[in-house]
Amino acid sequence: MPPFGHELPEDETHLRHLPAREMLRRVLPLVRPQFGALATGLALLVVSVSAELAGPLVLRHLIDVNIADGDRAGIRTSAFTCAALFLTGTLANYLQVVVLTRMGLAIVTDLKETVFRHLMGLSMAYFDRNSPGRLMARVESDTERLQALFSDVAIAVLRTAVLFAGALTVMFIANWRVTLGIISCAVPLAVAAVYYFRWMRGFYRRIRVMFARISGFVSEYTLGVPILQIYGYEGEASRRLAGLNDDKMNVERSMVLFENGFWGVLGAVEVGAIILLLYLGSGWLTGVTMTVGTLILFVEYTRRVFGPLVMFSEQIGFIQRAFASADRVFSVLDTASGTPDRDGAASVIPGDWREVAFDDVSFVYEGGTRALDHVSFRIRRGETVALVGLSGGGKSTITNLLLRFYEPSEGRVTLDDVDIRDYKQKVWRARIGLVQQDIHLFPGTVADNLRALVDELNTDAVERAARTVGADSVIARLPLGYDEALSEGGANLSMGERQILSFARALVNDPDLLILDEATSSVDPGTERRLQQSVQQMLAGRTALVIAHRLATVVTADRILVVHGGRIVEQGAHADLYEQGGVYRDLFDLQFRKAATA
Amino acid sequence: MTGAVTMTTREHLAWLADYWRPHKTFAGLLVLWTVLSSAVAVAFPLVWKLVIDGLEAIPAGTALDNASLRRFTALLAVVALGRFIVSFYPGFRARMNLNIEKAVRERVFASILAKDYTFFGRFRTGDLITRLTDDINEYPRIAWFGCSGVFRFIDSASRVFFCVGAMLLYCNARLALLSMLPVPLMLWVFYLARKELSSTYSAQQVAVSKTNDTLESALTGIRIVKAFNGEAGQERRLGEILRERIGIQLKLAKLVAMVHQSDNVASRLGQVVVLSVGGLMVIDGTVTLGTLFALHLYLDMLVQPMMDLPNLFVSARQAFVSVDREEEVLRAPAAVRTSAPGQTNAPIGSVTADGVTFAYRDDVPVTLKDISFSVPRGSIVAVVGAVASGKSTLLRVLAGLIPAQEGEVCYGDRRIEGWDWPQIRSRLGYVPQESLLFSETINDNVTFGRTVDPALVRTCLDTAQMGDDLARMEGGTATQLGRGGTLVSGGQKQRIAIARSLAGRPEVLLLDDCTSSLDAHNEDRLWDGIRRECPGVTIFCVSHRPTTIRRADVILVLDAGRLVGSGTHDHLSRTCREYAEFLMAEERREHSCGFGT
Repeated sequence: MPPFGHELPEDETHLRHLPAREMLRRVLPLVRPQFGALATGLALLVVSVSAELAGPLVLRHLIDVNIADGDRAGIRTSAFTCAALFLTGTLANYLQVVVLTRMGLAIVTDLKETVFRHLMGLSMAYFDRNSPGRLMARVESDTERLQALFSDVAIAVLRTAVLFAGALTVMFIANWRVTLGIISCAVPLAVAAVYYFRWMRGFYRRIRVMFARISGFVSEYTLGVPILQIYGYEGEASRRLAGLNDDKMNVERSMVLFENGFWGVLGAVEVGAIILLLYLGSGWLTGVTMTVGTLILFVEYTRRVFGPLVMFSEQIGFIQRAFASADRVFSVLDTASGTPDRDGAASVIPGDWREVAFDDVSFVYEGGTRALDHVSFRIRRGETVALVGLSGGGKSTITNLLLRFYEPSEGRVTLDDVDIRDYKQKVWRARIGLVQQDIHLFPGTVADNLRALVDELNTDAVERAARTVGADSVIARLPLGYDEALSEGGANLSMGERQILSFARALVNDPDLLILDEATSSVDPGTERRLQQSVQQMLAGRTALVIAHRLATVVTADRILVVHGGRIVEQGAHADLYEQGGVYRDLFDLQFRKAATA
Repeated sequence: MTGAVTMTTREHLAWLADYWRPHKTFAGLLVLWTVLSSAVAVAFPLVWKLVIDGLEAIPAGTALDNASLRRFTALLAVVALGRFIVSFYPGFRARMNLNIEKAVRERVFASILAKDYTFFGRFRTGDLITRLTDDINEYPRIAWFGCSGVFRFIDSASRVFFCVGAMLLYCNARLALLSMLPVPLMLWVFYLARKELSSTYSAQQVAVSKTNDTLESALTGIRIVKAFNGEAGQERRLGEILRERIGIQLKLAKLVAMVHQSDNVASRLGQVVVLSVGGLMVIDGTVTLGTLFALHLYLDMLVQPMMDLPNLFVSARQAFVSVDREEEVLRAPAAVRTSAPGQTNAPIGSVTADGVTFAYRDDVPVTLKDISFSVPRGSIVAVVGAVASGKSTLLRVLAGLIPAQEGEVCYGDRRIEGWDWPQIRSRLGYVPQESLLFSETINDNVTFGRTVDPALVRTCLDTAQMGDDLARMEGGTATQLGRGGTLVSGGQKQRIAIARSLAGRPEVLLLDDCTSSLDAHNEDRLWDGIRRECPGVTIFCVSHRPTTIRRADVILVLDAGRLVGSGTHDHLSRTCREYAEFLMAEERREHSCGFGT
């Protein structure tokens, strides 16, 4: 779990609630392919519970018949029967766990893959709304909770039900009066248990909220320590944390007291039931006495039935939580992509296109922020166009629209006057190479990363791309070369090396159009020169749109678009723009002057 | 992480024992309670032994006499009462867990509050939060292990001891020993399975974290995935990992089921022994039926605590890792603060820097290099320079948050280190670039733990040009802010932070680029207000705004950590190239469509 979020657990914030019937309608199809396993598991469950219930019966026989008769051979037979029953029960129990667990794993693994596949197809706007952490929880922890529903919890609930029914039947046959007496003790407890677990959930929720307050407090104040020190607020901060700790501790103390009290009452009532059993069995009320064997049978059954009966309502709680998880998972599956392919979208991009154009494009993000305001420009084939401007001006939005991560709110992006939405997204993106500031390497080998996990791309293409930008020399230095596994985020490579790999990755598919968001992070001058070289090699003879942060890139670009406040305020070549002395000149002085004078 | 702490087991135990020191009596009580709980557990089968033997003594078919019935009821009632009482035992362990949780968290938090600047470069906030939360209160970390973990071991040991004792002493020793024969056998199987279990468990952890890595990298890198049409590849990758994981998880489930059954096996086989051998012995009259049933019950009770004993070592290992992590925080250096109460209340006078040099780390270039200046009391000093020229660092040095590594800062004729820290700090006001407000009311954010007259709070907020905003807020100064000061705009945050700095009636005010949200008119009013409310205040102000800079008595021009010019506007525009260029760029920026950084 990420330590930062400290939002309330979603159990509390999630509002959508599918009705139980609807939920079953959606959950059942997941189980259907596993019907055979389910049936086998249930059969094994019945076998194991029967064996468990038969044990005390044999014990009774041994006491009331064998021992009473002094039948030595009978004792041996009864003991062997016990052993046999027990071994059968154990085996059946084990097999049942295996069968149902395998079933649960199969169901949940399929579900995980389905959810992930669905997520991958959703539009970028969805990913803006939902943090990676939240989506990971959908794919991983929510489905895991569902798995509990299919295995552990299901097993426990079914087992309790079968055990309870079986024990009650046998007890009724043995002595129905006594059985009624015991039920009269057990039923109020079972009812109390429903309320108990409801109360406990209330406690848990309060404790979670208080804990969220504590972690929220420490994250907020840890971040502000210098200010606390300056204003002498440390003592007060410590006192406030102590207050929050106390609040949580008090609730937890009452909860523990309540919890222990309940289980204490349960333990005492169980003994109380046995006292009642003793009275009823001794013929105190009914005049009919019970044999010692039957008494022991009842004691054994009472022990086996009481606990599980009470736990039943806790398991109901688990099931409710699993349903809440299922609900969240289904709500992902119910989300449709915001940028679907148009009907009849073409799957071939003409090889001889001449220009890409933004035609009076405006874009408003979901929150209502207007990022682009009637922007028009064109990129002719073979041209390198640089975007410059302060951050937040709209540069990234332009590249996002070009990649079809979003669709324009107004206007259109065209390729030779054809709206790019008339091409399939995958086909369109296959013609684009992207280099981001945030390089993002995936876990896997260097080769996997250069292919961006598109396994169809062949090794020749990968190596050619690496050579073009000089990544081959970086890779040659790795012990396993292209097969070297990258550690998390590529930590075994330097910043510069990672950038060069990301250049190579963009070229593997030999794209028609390159989108390059230059890194602002500073590297040593030697690396800087090498990166510069790589960028020039990459851009040579290609069509490119560059969000420029390097002096050389702006100076050599064919055209510069100055983006400010969602508009293109100036455009032209460097020398002309600088001469004009407008916004560009200011920006240039601000961002590049140091490099120019260095 | 550099300087990671690894203590020995003895040190770990001593570390934890410290938290028990104020609770010695409680510890003794817990030990007693543990023994009582075992005694109650052990009593139940013995009562049964009495009951059944009592029943056996009367001829079959006759009812139990009332005297015996009452005696048995009384015995069972005592057991019931005992059970009820000892059921609170785990709760008392939990109470102590909570005490430890609270004490550790408060101790570590207090130590964080006193840390110096290097600390926050070394530890990420997220990691610190984990140390203040999960490391302490997650199962089986510090708080749980500190009491429950240890006492569960004691409890299990005492149960095993009592159980075996009762079986040997109060039942038939020979039959008891015979029935316990399968136990060591099963324990042996259990220990064998454990090794396999722990390696499979680790394999599952690895598989889960592989899943998470794949998910995380696909979701955080969704732009790259989509741009490169890598969706199918990601799906394939996840599929492979999940298929591999199924095998591991199934193996784990099998092992867990096996271990689970193995404790059953031990007790049930023992029970078969009791039934067969014991049954014959009952016929022979060597043991009573009551004894036989008591042994039967004991065998059910014995195995669970036996299996639980080795858990102590497993949970200890996990808890000690967390102890090390806390200790690492505790040992990190605290900021050096002088305490010299009773120093002069005379006005601070001039502010002087002499050769101040500072680098955040050894392996990066210095952020401040040989900065020297002196400004008289009551000056307005503008600090200007490009991004990353060292302006904020200079203000932090002046605020005493970071020490000059070479050279010195003097307030009046005394080095900042020579001042009594509470005294000098209360005479400074500092507003950082990021406003850093807290989830308290506006009023409390301004007073910030100090005793401030409500009228002054109002004045400070008005001076900071927050008055009109407050009038529009329903709650006024009682308005509650969100975490990190959210629920008000960035500009309002800046103004509240300025008010906070004014509420201490500072003699030196350090404002780090915090007036950007004010328009020129309001900024004029801010300066006038400050001068009026805090006569004689010396102001250091990082700013980009030409009008603000021009107004300053002294302008300090920083370039790459060096002071390249200081003096008045007129002086600098003639003599300092960097200043002239900076000002030109800023002025042009102001005029061209309101650029602002």
